[in-house]
Amino acid sequence: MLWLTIAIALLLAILAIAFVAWPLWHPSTALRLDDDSPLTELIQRKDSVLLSIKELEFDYQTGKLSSEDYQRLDQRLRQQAISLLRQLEKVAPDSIALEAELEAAIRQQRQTVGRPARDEEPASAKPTTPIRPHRFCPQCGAPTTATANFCATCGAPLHKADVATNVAE
Amino acid sequence: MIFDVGYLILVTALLLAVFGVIAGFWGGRQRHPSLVDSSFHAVYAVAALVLLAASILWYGLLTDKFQVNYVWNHSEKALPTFYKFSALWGGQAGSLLFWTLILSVYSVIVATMFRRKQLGQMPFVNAVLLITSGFFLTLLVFAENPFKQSGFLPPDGQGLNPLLQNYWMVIHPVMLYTGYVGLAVPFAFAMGALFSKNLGNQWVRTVRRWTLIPWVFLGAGILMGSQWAYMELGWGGYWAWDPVENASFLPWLTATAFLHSIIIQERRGILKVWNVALIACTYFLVILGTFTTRSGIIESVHSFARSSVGIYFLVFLSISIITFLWLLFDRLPLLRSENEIDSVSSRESAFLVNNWLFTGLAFSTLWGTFFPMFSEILTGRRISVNAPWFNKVNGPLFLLLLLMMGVGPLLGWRRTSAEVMRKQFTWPVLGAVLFAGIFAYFSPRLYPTIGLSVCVLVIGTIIQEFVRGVIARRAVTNENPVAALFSLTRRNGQRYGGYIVHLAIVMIGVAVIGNTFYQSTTNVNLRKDQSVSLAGYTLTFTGLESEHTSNRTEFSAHVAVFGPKGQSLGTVSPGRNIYDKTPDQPTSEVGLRMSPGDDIYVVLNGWQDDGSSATFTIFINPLTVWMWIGGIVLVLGTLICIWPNPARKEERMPAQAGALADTAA
Repeated sequence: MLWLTIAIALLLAILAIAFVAWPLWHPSTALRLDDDSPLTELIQRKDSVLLSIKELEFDYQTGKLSSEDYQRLDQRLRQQAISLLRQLEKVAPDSIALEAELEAAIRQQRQTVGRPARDEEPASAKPTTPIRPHRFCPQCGAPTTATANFCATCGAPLHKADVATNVAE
Repeated sequence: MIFDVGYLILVTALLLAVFGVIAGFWGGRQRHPSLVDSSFHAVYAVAALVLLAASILWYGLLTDKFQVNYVWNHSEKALPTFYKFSALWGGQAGSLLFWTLILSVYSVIVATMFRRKQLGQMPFVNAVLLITSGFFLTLLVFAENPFKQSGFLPPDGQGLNPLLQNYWMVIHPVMLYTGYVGLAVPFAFAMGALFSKNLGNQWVRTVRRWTLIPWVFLGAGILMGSQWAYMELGWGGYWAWDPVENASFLPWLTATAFLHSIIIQERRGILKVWNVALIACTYFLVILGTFTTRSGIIESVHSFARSSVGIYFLVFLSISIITFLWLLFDRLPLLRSENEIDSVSSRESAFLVNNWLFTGLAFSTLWGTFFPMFSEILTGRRISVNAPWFNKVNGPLFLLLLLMMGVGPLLGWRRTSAEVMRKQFTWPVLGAVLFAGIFAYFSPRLYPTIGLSVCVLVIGTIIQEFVRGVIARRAVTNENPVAALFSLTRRNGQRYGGYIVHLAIVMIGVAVIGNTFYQSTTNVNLRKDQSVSLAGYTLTFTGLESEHTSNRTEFSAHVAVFGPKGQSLGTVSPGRNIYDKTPDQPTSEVGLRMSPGDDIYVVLNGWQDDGSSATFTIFINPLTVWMWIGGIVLVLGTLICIWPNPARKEERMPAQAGALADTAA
């Protein structure tokens, strides 16, 4: 009886230990340990600023801010967003394509959440359409899609001639 | 035999937990993929082994294996199966095993969800969770072996503590443990962030939901415990500032503060050190609370036995506090604020005041809970701190907290101008003042008038927030008001779910105020068909009956209730259960008639054997039912908070971040 107990316990223990030790001998699953790069942090900070802009707008609409305060704070947040986008561009130039895609997603959300519809471009820019990133708004500097008629961030109209001077690189 | 295997399984789990901790820390530091992977495997293996061990104990309980001391002590043949199942957490060793089981389940969920994400900090998160599991496994292996056997087979067990043989007592500990233990997860993420030096706002975003889930379980567990005390202990109340109640309430307070202050960090990049410290305090309070419940150093109605585990807890707690402080000071330069608080009249400063209040409450509760112990150590005399002290100190703090709940949401971030303040505060304040006037006219008492007026202020704030939100949304979308309300709540779950939670807290506050200031009570001996009047009600004792069930005899009296105009309001049946195994510990079954206005609450104290007369304690408890309704609303509000936002597909972001990292590299 004692031997059986020991045998069963031993078997279970060996199974468990083998399971835990398995990756040490079979490092097949290549884990990526680098996704905590500064880039992730930058993207998150940018997201947080964009969220703040959205919230600020909602607070303004529900009467928690005077219009001067709103404009002042909105301006400040937009500048922060722009500077973060510039930093992002420096760290990973290609990522701006994805940025524009994210922008499109956020824009769609804003359309439903509270931004007056006239400030928006029509929701034609689906995130799945290929986006050429190398255009920037002449007013606020935010990246825009090649097909956009208005800036998603500040709502300024985008004319081809104006934008030409802002082409990156 | 199987129980010896159970013990050896716990030993194996402990060894693997230790290995997992080393693999996590070493792998995380060296960025060694195989070791990190192995730490994930360790989490899974420990969980599987703990589950196996718990199943073996359940098997012992359900099949009456009384040769196991734990089964013998906490079960008996005649115990209903339902309670045999719940006896797993009815005693010391079993509840420690259950604690470990819940922690293992949490760890597995976390490990599975973050198997491919945030891998910079995940090895440390695994390690911290495994340290906690490892600590409890150490207790189980060295101090409280649940599989200890006596060497002979007793004919029957001792039976489960009668107080625990109650429906609520089966769910309450599960809820409470799920809440309690789950708070280790946000702590593990905070430590992961400290160890891996990823001290941006990422961990804060990650843990919000992971804090809300245990937080709501803990809140619901506390309320269920109150309900149990109210229904089962028969002293007319629901909360007595008992040390064990406090033990569960303390981490709830700090976790609530944390939930509020992470919002400021997320939005404004301030209070970083504070947040790390707050979640660490929450974790330490969880360990301390488990220690108070388990060691018997503080006397309580929850007398779970005195034992030797106290010293283990003290050592573990000291080591973890020292490690945390060392780590915190080492990482201080990385925790600098990105902004400052611009103005007193801003939402962040309201949040800050709320945090001070919560911390103040936690501190005074902690002080009151441990004062008897300190006084005994210092003076040799045990000076007990009782409910009136807690009410006197914490009452005003809670009132201020309620007030902040009304003020905070009306302020904007950064700064609120005088003009805006006027616009925001006019209606809620007007409502509160009007209510105060009317209420004081009918019931001229200062404290309840202030308390209830503040409740009205908060309700006014919440209604105004919803109304203005709906108006703002309709201006854009032209939805009908109901659809606008729905989509507003759905899309801004964090904010509007939070308001619903606030509403729940107000309901609970109203119940507390009603009970504190307007409870009436009397003690009577009634002969059959004799009546007594209290607070407008008339109660008539109509008879007594008894019935024997599987392991107890149930006595119940019938008391007919009549309203102020003599109309019949039905019958309440207070009773007592006398258990065969423990006849000297009868439990009380309260006779209760609930209504939105007040509860009629009757306790049977004693009776003549022929049923000719009986003594009762009768309470009329105003507004108590709102506490339980508040509990349900609290859960609903939290569900709205944690429900994924349809517009912000959070899962997309990290995936894209990963993709970006690839392109960057």
